[in-house]
This record gives sequence, structure tokens and C-alpha cells, in this order.
Amino acid sequence: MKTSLRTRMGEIHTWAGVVLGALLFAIFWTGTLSVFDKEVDRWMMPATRLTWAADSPRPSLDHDARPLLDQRAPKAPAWTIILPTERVPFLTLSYGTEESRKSSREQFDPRTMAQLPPSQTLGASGFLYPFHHNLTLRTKDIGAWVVGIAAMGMLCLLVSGVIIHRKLFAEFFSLRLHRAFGRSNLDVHNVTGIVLLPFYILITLSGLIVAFSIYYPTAHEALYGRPATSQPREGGAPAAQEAAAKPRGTRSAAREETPERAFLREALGRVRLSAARQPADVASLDAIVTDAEKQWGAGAVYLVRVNNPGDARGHVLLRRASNETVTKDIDNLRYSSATGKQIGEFQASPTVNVWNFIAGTHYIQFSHWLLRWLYFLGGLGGCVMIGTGLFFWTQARRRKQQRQGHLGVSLMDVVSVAGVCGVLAATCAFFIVNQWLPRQESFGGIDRERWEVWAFYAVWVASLLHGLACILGNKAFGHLVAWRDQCRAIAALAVLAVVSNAGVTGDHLIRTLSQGNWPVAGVDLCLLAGAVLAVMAASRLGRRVAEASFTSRAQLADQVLGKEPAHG
Amino acid sequence: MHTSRGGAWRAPVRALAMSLHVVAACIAAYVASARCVELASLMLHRLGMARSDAVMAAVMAGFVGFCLILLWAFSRPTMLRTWIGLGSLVLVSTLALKVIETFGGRV
Repeated sequence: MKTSLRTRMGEIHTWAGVVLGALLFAIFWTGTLSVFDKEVDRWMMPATRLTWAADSPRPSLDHDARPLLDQRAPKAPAWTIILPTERVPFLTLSYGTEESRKSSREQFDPRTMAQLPPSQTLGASGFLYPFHHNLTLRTKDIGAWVVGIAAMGMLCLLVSGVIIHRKLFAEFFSLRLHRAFGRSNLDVHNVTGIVLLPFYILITLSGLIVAFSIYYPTAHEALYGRPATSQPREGGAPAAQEAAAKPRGTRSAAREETPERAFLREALGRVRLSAARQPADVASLDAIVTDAEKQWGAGAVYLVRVNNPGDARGHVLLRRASNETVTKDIDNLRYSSATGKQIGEFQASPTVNVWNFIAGTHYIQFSHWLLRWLYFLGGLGGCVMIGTGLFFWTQARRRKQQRQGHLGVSLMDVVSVAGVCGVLAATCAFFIVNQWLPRQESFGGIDRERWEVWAFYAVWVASLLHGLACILGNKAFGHLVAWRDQCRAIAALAVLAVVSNAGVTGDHLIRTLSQGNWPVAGVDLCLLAGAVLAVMAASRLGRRVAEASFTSRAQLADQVLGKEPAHG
Repeated sequence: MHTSRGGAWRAPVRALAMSLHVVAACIAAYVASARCVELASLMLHRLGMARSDAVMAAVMAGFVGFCLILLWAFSRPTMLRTWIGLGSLVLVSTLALKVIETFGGRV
């Protein structure tokens, strides 16, 4: 069976698209929202709707942050201070406690140092963003692997998609929106695919490359040596015994350097220093940051971590902000926490900075609003491309197998409608429940933040069941009914989210726009724009439903009267 | 494709066989790419790159390589050729890595 390269690429494109399409849509959609994760966080965390100009003087670490840390966590193994920025307008303190390994995080108004009430929500940066890269399945990196497989499939889809289009330039200029539904759907798929192709390749490849340590975990082993797996495995579970034998709350003093740790230290500057177990004072953090700013420039420090505070060998690690460059800076400076003297620095090599640049193009930590919006639009374009691609597959199959009522095509219709409309509606539900639930820690024994996530998944499952009911109940045009109804639901939910925000927090659009509260106003306006688009799609689908139901009724009447059907 | 002979059970069996073929070929392509990443890191180091840089450069190219291996494997005209191609790639890269690690010595 010999076939041409283009045919085989067409098969790859079709089947990779069918298997991965819905998953890719969810990843692209949550990734698109993550472009504005901090802004969605402000929308979902009303207590943090503060403003902080980029050039404001930083709060004093010694006078403002230190007393709080001394009082709350004098014996913590590490303190982390994250300084306020334009997009994250509050001071964050986090510290591990001896009882729990999960470090607690507290947020403070950087002007008054008053503690902000906990928002009791994961927000976009705690749920939508993790969903984007690991589907929130963290056990053994299963979610990250699923996302990685989808991303590699996406790369193959992009390359094969280019190969199968013989008239790449002609299709670039043919967007026939006014033509029949199927033709315009395929045109939208082709145009969004071709125009944004470089963006998709960049974003997919960089997404894989930033997580290389998950996808190629053994890459360093040829040069750094294989890990000694047999040696420490003798005699039951030595790792657990060892851990139990260690004094609590202290890190092991003499930990052997594994090949992996050696690689991470050399390449990425990740160093772990052990404690001396001798008490010592913590030197002035302000003086340390001022000294660092002499090397990096004013305002370049964004994170201060004190490892083993109060220990003679404790050290202060400073991380450099990346808002002025595309490259995600991983350079750091290390100071002795006891003496305040610099004890080390890490500067990434040019090769590692290539990786940092690629990572920066994916993490988008630089300050540039126009570019951020272009990323957002690029992501939406990707969602449109994936959605129209899915729709085209079932449509093309339906034309061939119209009379047989093929089960596979019907199921694929359900997957498409739940994969596209379902995740959009679920996101709106996530936002609405976030506004509705009072800000208390838990309801009915379940954390408040879990309720929001449950609402997200519940609406997604509801969308799947609704699609299933519509499509199995009406073989002829049930899929159109499902798409139309779910588009209407998205429009209603998006408007409800805006209304909920106005009602619960009082920050309605007139106020946020007049105050220049752009993060909140922007989310509201995007939700309203989404609602308008959903209404337009629903009305177009509604016309198609009307046509289809007229045709099928005419066919039925013809059959009853014993005539030949009018439409073949 | 032959659909004339055999009962209705043939279609699901063929779909299952096809799925297994695709999954196994993807795994083989991944193994080949992982071996090639390690080989490339060794070569770059021999050419004078610091070992951390060699690993980073190899791993960044690795994803592009993996994508190309996948597309190349699945665009072979027959399944047999896919497996001949992938099999020899895995074999050669694994052997080369073993030989270098055993006889090449540390640099």
C-alpha cells in the first residue's frame, strides 16, 4: 500500500488532531488565561486589589518584614520575602514551619504593612496556570507527561499541517466567512493556523524545553554519571529510616552530591548549603539588598530568601527580576546571613541564557502590556484553530456517513463540544463560585478553594452529559443543538460572572474604569466580549438548527407521503 | 483495505493493533531521541563545551529531534519500514552510547 507523503502527513494530522484536540484546547485555553494570571488573581482575590507603581520605594525589610518573620517563624528552615511589583501589588512572606512542610504564605499591604485577609482561593496562578502545565495531576508528574505528549503531538500537527496544504499562500488570503458554514469553518482553521504558525511553534517548543528536566530526566547522565541505584537500597527502606533518625527541622548536614544535583548547581546555580547548628544573628537584609542593587541596578531584586535564618552558616539568596528583559533571569547573589558579606554569585553561561531566553518567551515575566496582549490574542487564535479543526473532522465524516449514524462520529461530536464549550463554561463557573462563596476557610469540611475547583469540573462534566444527551437523542442535528445551547450557556455565565463581581465586591465597570483599575476592568471587559462572541456563535448555530429541522421535517413528510426525498 | 472477508470483530482488532503500533512507535522514537540527547551532550563536551552547557544545548535540540524522528517514522510507506527505521535508530544510539561510556573514558 504505497501512498504519497502528503497523504501520510494528512493521516498523522487527522488522527493526532482527533486524539489530542480536546486536550490541546484545554491546555491552550488555560495557557491563554495564564498570560494574565496575575490580573485574574486580582479579580478573584478582591482583598489584593491594590495599586503599586513600578518605581515606588521598596518597603524596609529590616523594619517591616523582619519583625513579622521573627514573631511568626523564628525557627523556620527558610524565610522567603517577595517584594511588591506592579502586577503583584503586595508584599508576600512565606516560611516553612516545623510541623508542616507546606510553607504558609501571608500577604501584606506594602504601604501600611497591614496583613491582607487570606483570599481562600487558588486563583488563576494557583489553578488555571498549574492546569496548563500539569493538569493539576502532580503525582509522579503524570499530568506533566500528558501535557508533554500533547505538546509533542501539537508540534507534529503543526509540521504535518503545513505539509498537507499545497496552496499555503492561496489559503492565507482566502477567508470566506460569508460562504457556507463548512467552507468558512475550514478557512478559519487554515488562516488562524498559517498566520500564527510561528507563534504556535515558539510557544509549543518553548513549553517543552522549559520542562526538559521532566521530559529528559536522564539527559545529564552521560556526562555526570549514572546515579548509584543499588547502593542505598540495601536493607529495607533506608531512606525512610534515615529521615526518621535525623533531628526534626534541620537539613542533613553532610548530604552526598548526586549527579543530578551537580548538574543543577553547575547549569542553573541551584545550591543547597547545610546549617552549622550554631546560633547567630541575622544581619541587615536592607544592607544586603542595597549592596546587590549596586551590582544589578536599582529595583532589580524581587525575591529574598533566607535559608537557615539564625544559623551561623545561614545564607541569604537574592533573585533578580526579569521585567526588563525577555530572558528569564536565573542569576542569583548569595550573602552570609550572619555577617551580611557576599559569599557567592551565580551568573548563567551564554548557553544556559539561550535556555533562559526560550523560557522567558514562554513565562512572559517582562513588563510590556502590548506584547502581553499579543500573546493573549495569539493564544485565543490557537484556541480557534483547535476548535475549528475539531469541528471540521466530525463535519467531514458526517457528510460521508450521514445515513449510517456512525457512533464514532457522534462520540467525537460529544468530545468536541465538551472540549471546547465545556472548558469555557467551566472557567466561567470557577469565576462565579469564587465570587459567591464567602471568604472563609472551609464549607462542610471541604476547603473553600476546593469548592471552586469542584465547580469547574462539575460544569465540565455537565457539559459532557448535555452534549451526550443532545447528540444521542437527535442523530440528525443534535450536535448543532448542543453547540448552540452551550454557547448560550457560556454567554449567560460570562455575564453572570461580571454581575457577581460587581455585586459582591462593588467594583463594577464604571468604578474600575474611572479609577483606572485595569486588572479588574480588563477581566470584566474580556468576559463581556466573550459573551458577545458566544451570542453571535449561538445565533449562527440557531439558524443552522432551524434549517436542519426544516429539512428533516420535510424528509419525514416525504417519507410519510411515499415520495423520494428532496435532498440526497 | 480488505473488508470483504471476516466478521464485524475485524474492525476493532485492527483498530487495537493500529493503536498499539502507534504507541509503541512513539515510545521507540522517544527512547531514540533520549539516547541521541545523551550522545550529543558527550560530543559537544568533546568539542570543548563545558559539561553543563553541553547537556543544555543537547536537550534543547532534543525536542526538535524527537519531533523530526516521529514525523519521519510515521511517514515511512509501510509499517515494516517504520520499525526497521526506528529499531536501527534505537539500536545504533544505544550501542554508541554504551561503547563511548565503556571505552571512551572520562574527559
